[in-house]
Amino acid sequence: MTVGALLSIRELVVEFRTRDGAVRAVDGLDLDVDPGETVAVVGESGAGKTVAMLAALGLLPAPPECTVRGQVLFDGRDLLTMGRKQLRQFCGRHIGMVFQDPMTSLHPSLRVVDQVAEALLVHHKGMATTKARDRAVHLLAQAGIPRPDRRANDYPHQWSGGLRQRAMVAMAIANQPRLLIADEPTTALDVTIQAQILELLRSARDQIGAATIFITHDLAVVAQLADRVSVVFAGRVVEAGDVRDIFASPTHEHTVRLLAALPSPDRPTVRTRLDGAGPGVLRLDNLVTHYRRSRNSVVRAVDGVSLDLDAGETLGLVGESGCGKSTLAKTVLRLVDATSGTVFFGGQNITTADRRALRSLRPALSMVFQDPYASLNPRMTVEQIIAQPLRTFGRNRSGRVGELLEMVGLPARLAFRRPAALSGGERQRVAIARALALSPRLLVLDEPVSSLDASIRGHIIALLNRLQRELDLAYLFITHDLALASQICDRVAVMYLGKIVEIGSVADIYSRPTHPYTRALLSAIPVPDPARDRPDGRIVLSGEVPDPAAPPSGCRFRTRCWKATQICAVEEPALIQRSSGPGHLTACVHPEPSDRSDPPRAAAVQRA
Amino acid sequence: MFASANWLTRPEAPGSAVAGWRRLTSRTPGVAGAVTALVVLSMGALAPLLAPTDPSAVDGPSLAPPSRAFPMGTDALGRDVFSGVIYGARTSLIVAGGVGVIALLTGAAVGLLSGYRGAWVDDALMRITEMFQVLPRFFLALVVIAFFGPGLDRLVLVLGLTSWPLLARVVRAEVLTLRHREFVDAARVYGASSARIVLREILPNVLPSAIALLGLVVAQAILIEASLGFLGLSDPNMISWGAMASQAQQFLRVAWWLSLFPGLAILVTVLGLNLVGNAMTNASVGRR
Repeated sequence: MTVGALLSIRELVVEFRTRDGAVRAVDGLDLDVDPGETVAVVGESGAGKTVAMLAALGLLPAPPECTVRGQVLFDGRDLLTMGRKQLRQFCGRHIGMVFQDPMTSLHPSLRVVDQVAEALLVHHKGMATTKARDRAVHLLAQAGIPRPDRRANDYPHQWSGGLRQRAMVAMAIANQPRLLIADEPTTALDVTIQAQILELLRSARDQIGAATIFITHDLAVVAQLADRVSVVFAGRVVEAGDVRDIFASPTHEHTVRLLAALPSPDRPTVRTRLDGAGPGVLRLDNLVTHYRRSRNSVVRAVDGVSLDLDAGETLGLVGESGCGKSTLAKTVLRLVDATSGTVFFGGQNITTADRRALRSLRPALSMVFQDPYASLNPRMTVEQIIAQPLRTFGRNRSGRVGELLEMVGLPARLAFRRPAALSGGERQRVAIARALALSPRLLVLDEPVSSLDASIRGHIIALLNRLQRELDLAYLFITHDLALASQICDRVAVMYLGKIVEIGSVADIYSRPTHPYTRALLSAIPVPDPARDRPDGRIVLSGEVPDPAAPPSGCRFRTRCWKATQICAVEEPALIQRSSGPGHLTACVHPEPSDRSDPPRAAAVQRA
Repeated sequence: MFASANWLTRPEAPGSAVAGWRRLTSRTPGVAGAVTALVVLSMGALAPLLAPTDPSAVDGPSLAPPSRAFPMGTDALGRDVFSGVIYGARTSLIVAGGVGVIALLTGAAVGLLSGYRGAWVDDALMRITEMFQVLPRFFLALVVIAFFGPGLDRLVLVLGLTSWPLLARVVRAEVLTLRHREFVDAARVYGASSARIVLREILPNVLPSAIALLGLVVAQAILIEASLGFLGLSDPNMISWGAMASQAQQFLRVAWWLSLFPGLAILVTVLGLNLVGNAMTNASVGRR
């Protein structure tokens, strides 16, 4: 046992009682955290990392549903032997916690300020309410909320995810805890917001000098934040050590697997693509999709997008949530109607096609959705799910379902299971099989791997790559993850507030980005390499994406751009070629010179 | 999957009938309700085999207390109360079945259409639903019987046509949450027609909660039929628990068995159906 460890977990075992007997979620987990140190607990979903933390803090249901054994010493006192009330007071005072989903971790019908104040009042009995509120406003300011005094009457639903997570951090640090536990604090956030929150956690930690436990599935996130890493697999720590050692020479095969699954923008996978691309499949011409949010507010979700896509090609559509990429996909598939502009599919106009024409086009267009838990009907078997499109078009389905299962690498015995009996990866394979049932030419992939564990992502990406080669499919690949896009795309279009700000080949976008937003996105990707300098040269965008119902005039990115000048507010920059790369277009009047030798953090971006 | 503590509530195979039955019977009230419902069902179905005598035949002394020959005693005319209770289950079952079918069909149709179409269709259908919802069911049934004379057919019709609004609202609410789910979008992408989406994709997901509610609706219908019987407005050709309890009134002081056993039958049946309904509601909520 480490002498003077702040938190020391020994032989922690957590068992849940279920109908089918006891399930051991945590199986002898050990963890030490020294004062002021940051420890990352890394593992895939189901590894038991969150359950272990909840158990240590006494937040799990009481026996008999759940039994906890072992020892959790915090500053020499065993948390597991404390009474519930004592534990609550002790933990509230000394441990601050930030949860994964900022959308659900705040009380929806209390003012945010009051919730932060509440955290103070609980542990300072004599404190006046007004004083607690003042202090709460101060804490919110500390957590980077702009003008919190003006937001004193706001409720959580009026705040974005990023702001709410900041409020959570403010609550967590309210009592100057000695230990900060962050459970996947950035998983639900966009990359640029993730970068902001990571910065905030880092500064909060440094300010109050607290030790930090960082629970995450994403090794890249912890590379530059953690001092030590503990890799959890099947309820126990399989490897622990200094973050540099783990990254440099992982010993356990599971760690190796996690590291191998990390995409890196530094090494875009070079795809072997047939030169002289196939025939054009999809062409968007100045596509506009607006939808009405209320009586006098129109959301300009897609606002003049032109694109084209060839057979056998993958075009990545990258942007943060709310940039319109999903609306664009839905418009292409005519799940929503375009406001103006056209979508040509194989020469036919989808936007104006009548019901009959649309039906004849349907088989050639297909889509794979983000969440395989939501995209499969829970009451159907795998066989029924895959057969549905075939039934709809009265196609022969006797051998086809088996053929499709084989195509996506699923054993035939799964055909009669229901989705609930499948893992996330298997479900997504079923969704892909269904999408391929009618032999489409275009597949729209809406974040197809973002809800999957890292090690499974690689398999699904490989599957998609293989299917594309075999079937000469065109992919429209929608993602918020630039690093991922580099693995599968031929070209990438970066979207911001309904417009494409930059489009070009993977090589151009990743090695010679010219739009400031693209550069910021690339810079926001956590670099999975602890040996690299702590990212002082990183571009961390301030603020959040403006309301798409009232986009800024001129260049829409100007409100967050560090290069913005007066002209940006007046002139809307055209998407034209501004660098040497063929087909590399940028919508910025101050493009990054493509031949510039050392843009900030060039080492990271240009090593490709 | 231990990503969060709520995995505990997630069953392994929510779709399968076996899992549904397991969840339903995982709590004592559910089991009790299911057993009661089965007993009443078999009583009604097998009445001629189970009943020792013809319930309308005079075959014993008048007002005999419960004995070995007459387990629930006899009434003023010397008819066997036990046989009456068994045959009475038939009436209750006919009411329950008839009302259940009418309410489920109407309620599901209105709810599906309203929830899936939305816009003015939704508005119109929901206003109509509210109209039906505020009708005083018992008095409507009373009026119909008073006008057209006693009869099970019209009673079933009236109760059925006034029982669906609750189901329609629940189905509509479920459809509203389901229609933007990704698997519905997926069906639209491969070109499924609206009818196909509603019937194949949405309906199977709505049905469990609708059927759960149906238990409660049907229990109420049985209660109303019994109440009408008690007021002497039941079909004279059918033996009904309510009518039996009604006739027992005048002998309340001398022959307690006449009112106790039909009353118990009503109580147990309605309670059982309520328990099943509740257990099914819980099970379908736990499914999510």
